[in-house]
Amino acid sequence: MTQPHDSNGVPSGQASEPTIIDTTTGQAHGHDSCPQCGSTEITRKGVTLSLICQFCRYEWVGSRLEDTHGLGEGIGELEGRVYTSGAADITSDDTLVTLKCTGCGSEVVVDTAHSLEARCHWCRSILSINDKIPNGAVPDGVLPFTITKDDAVARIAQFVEKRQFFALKKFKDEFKPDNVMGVYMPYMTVDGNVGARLHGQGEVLTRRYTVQTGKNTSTTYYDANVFDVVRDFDLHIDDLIVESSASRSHIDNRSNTNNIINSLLPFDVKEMVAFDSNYLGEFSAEKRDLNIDDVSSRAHVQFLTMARESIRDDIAGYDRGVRWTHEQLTVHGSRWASVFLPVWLYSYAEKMGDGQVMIHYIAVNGRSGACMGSVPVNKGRLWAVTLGVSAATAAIAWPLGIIAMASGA
Amino acid sequence: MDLFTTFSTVTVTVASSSSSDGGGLIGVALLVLPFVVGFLLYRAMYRRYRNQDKRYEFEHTTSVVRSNLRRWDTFVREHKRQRSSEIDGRNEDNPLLRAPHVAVDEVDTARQAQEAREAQEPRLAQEAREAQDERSAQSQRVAEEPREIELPVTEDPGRPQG
Repeated sequence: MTQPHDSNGVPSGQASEPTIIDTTTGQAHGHDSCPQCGSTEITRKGVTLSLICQFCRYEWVGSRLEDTHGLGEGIGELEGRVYTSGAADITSDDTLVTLKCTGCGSEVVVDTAHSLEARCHWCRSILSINDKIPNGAVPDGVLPFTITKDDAVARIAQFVEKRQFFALKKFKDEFKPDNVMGVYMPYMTVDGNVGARLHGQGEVLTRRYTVQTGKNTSTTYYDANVFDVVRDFDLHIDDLIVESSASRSHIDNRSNTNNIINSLLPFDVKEMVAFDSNYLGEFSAEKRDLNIDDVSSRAHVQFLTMARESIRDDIAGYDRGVRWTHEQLTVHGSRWASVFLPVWLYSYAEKMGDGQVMIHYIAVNGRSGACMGSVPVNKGRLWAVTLGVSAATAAIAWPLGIIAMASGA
Repeated sequence: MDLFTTFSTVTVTVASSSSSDGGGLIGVALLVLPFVVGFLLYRAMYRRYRNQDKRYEFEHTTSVVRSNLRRWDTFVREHKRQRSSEIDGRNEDNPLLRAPHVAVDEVDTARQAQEAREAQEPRLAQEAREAQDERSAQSQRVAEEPREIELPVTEDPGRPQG
């Protein structure tokens, strides 16, 4: 087999330093006021994207990042790493940020681990962290909730309603869907301009035949042509979403149910608006604690998976399948942005037999309303029913089997 | 191969063989049936409640545009009298399963590696020269047979179409 070679598949080696797209809004002073009257009494208008001033009733809409910074364009021209200012490396672990109130001059401390806004205790002005600070608390964009709390509660209740019989009794007794919380989770979106080369062997069936090997037995054989298969192609990947919180990205079914939150993806991130803490309202937010370097290897593996998936239609002619032996991915360029995504979250702590605690999540996508969850199982009841059904099946099948074997002999 | 696949394979094998082996194999299938039913029931219910298999199906939901596809399909040999209906080690239908050899290069990383290689070249060359002197002093070198040079194979017109 001769390996194909092409200079296009080789990295250009001309990448410059990472390019940074500035998504700041010039509101680093922390005074997030109405553009019309300067009041800080701003709320979100229902589930729309509009913000409204409670003082003069002026309404405005946050800008879509896709429009203002062209995040959905030019994937094929990406070279090296490009990232938005909100996805820059976290350089400070300090969650406390001190802002000087421009209303009265006093200093107000905001704990960015829990909230991105605070009210000045002297003049009652609301101070917001609307611009990027080096501790990773402020993302580039946010997708505001469109599913209301009542809707989320109904969806979670319906989800659990369908899973009553084998649910843990303690869980059923303590289930109160009203305790659902709206949380903004930190993620990164990544676009990729990548090249992939796959190498392996494929087989095409040429003949299938059955050979009599005994009085009542036969064996089927297959003849096939074997090919060395190579596919080399480019992929433009738009808005892959990756977790940027270490605790959420640790998915292990034996110790947590983070896969439930993961399964709510994707979101309509094309619609994300430039971050404005007024969108957060009463919702809490989880802080990003992973940098691009921490999540890039996971994203690259996902690129490889997408490459493998995207080529399946082209190798369908190998009707006996293909065994890929070599996978090669070259990331020519990538573009990263950080975003808050809305999730309604209900959690239940189950004490396991070994003393460990398993947190079960039931979660609702705050945009599409898709619901997924983990309901703790009453294993005793499940085993009992399984054994009962198996015994009933045996009561019917075994006598018939014994009769069949006796007649066969 | 997980337990479900194993059980399914056993059931299908027993069922498909039964036509040729008569009532004996039907009997075996009926004896195994309660265990299969029990296993499938437990597994289905546990999954329905715990949803451990649910995940972000990024490979299906993310927007991807493929371009500049180039193909090489080179006939190797004919493989006769195989017992399996599919190629050994088939993995093209499970994109999450990584191939035995994986290489990922990011452009910046490649550039840094190239710089590192260039920086190291003088030292390695010096070591190679020193090693060469010692070896050639010990034994006389034998001229190698000229090697055959394999020419690049272009796209095979007889390639199976997808």
